[in-house]
Amino acid sequence: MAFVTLTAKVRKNPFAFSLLNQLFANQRDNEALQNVEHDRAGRHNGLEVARAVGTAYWNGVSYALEGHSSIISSLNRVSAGVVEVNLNSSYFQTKMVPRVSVMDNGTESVPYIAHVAVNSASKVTVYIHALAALAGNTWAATDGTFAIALHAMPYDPVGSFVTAITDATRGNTLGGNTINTDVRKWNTFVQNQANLRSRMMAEHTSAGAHNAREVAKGAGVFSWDGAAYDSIDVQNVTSCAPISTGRARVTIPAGYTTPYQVFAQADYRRQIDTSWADLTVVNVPRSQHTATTFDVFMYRYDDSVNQWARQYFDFACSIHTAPT
Amino acid sequence: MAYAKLPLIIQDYGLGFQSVNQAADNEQALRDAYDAEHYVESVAFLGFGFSSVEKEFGAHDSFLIPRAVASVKTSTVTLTTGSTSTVFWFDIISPNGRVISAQATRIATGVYVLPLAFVDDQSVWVEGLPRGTGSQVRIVSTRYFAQMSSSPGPRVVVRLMERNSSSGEFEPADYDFDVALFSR
Repeated sequence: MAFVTLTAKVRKNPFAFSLLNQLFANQRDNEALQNVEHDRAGRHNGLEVARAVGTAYWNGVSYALEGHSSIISSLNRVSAGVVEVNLNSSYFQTKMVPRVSVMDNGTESVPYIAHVAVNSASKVTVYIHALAALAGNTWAATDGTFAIALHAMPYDPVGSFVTAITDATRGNTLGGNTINTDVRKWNTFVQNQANLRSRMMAEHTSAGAHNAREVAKGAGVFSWDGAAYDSIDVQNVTSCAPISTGRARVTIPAGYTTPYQVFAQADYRRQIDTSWADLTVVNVPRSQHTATTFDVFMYRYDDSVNQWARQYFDFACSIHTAPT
Repeated sequence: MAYAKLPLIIQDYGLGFQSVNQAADNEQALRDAYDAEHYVESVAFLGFGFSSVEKEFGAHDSFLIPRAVASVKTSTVTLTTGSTSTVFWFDIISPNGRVISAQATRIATGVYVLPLAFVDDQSVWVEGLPRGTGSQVRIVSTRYFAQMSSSPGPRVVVRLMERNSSSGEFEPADYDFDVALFSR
């Protein structure tokens, strides 16, 4: 029986057993809804939601984990620009989808890029390269801060997470205005309800907004019109403004705490021209993060001269932060 | 009415109408909370000669969560040089497969087309990340197309570039990559 919004009862309304059964049905439907992409503890459990998010912070000497989910267990710097991210393997299979955003650009004048290798269910290796100088195309393995999100296959078996309640039948419940002939149904219902509520609150607010580092708190798509950045679509992001060629500042509202993670991606140019053939890099250096702003550095490759330059272009980003 | 925890009862407890109302409201509050950023009912899509599930009960419905993520294993299939329609399969896809199709097309070296469904034209963007095991210098570019002349329906075109250490320039190349697609 599907979820049905019930009308409120008033004093002396008779409670038919069908009312109680619809309450049970509503609860079962809510549970089924929750089970689709959440686990028994209320954590997210769908491929689309990152299983873990964190930052590998390069302090110039070593890497440190920060702003991370506990299931990222440690970092191991193999050599310059090569970092092993060790995971709690019970949460992952080798089939996973990593996302990496370089949050460093060293001197803030050259682009950094990354690629990854999934070594096992417990280890991902991130490789970072930096351009030697803008007037060229020579890259070298270089250490740098990066954000990482790991999307993994669902891991819990599908099943009922609450105690089943046998439907009431005529005569065994709801005598007069009470259901005191079988208190177990009511008590089980109440316990289930509290349980489902608790699971929902694990990674959502009471209003249903997501409230976990694994889900972005804000995101935006911004288009460069030649003089300013237009917000194509934003959520929990205030504005974006140019600072200097190839450098834009995104303002975010209250509610973010550093360190947070920004995943940025160059977008096709919607207004300046329709070409998408550019090779571009976007970096969002952690050194420029504050609780209310972060800067986005953009670089474009000019294949006619085999060189890079800072340039404004369209981009999109999502921001992950600690739950409130 | 906001959620309020209800009391357990014992035999002969007189359960009043307020408790029953609160019980119903609690379930409704839970439902409404999930409705904020999840689909609370499935919606089928019928058209163009096929049917599919546009909105799946319980799935996430948020601008802040990827509509789909996928690893594309170009290295596990034999690609025909010069082919414009070589098809390969994703290694893994979004579980319900409703946004990114399970197959894509290789247009040319380093150029792949991923068919999409049920995305908002305005807000789509796609993160791309190269796979690799060492010193490669690789960059993935993505572009969303609401419509392509060669085939109907929305698409993402992915271009894979790698720096050629001999020439010192970026050139198209085939390698595995990951994508995360966002949309309203």
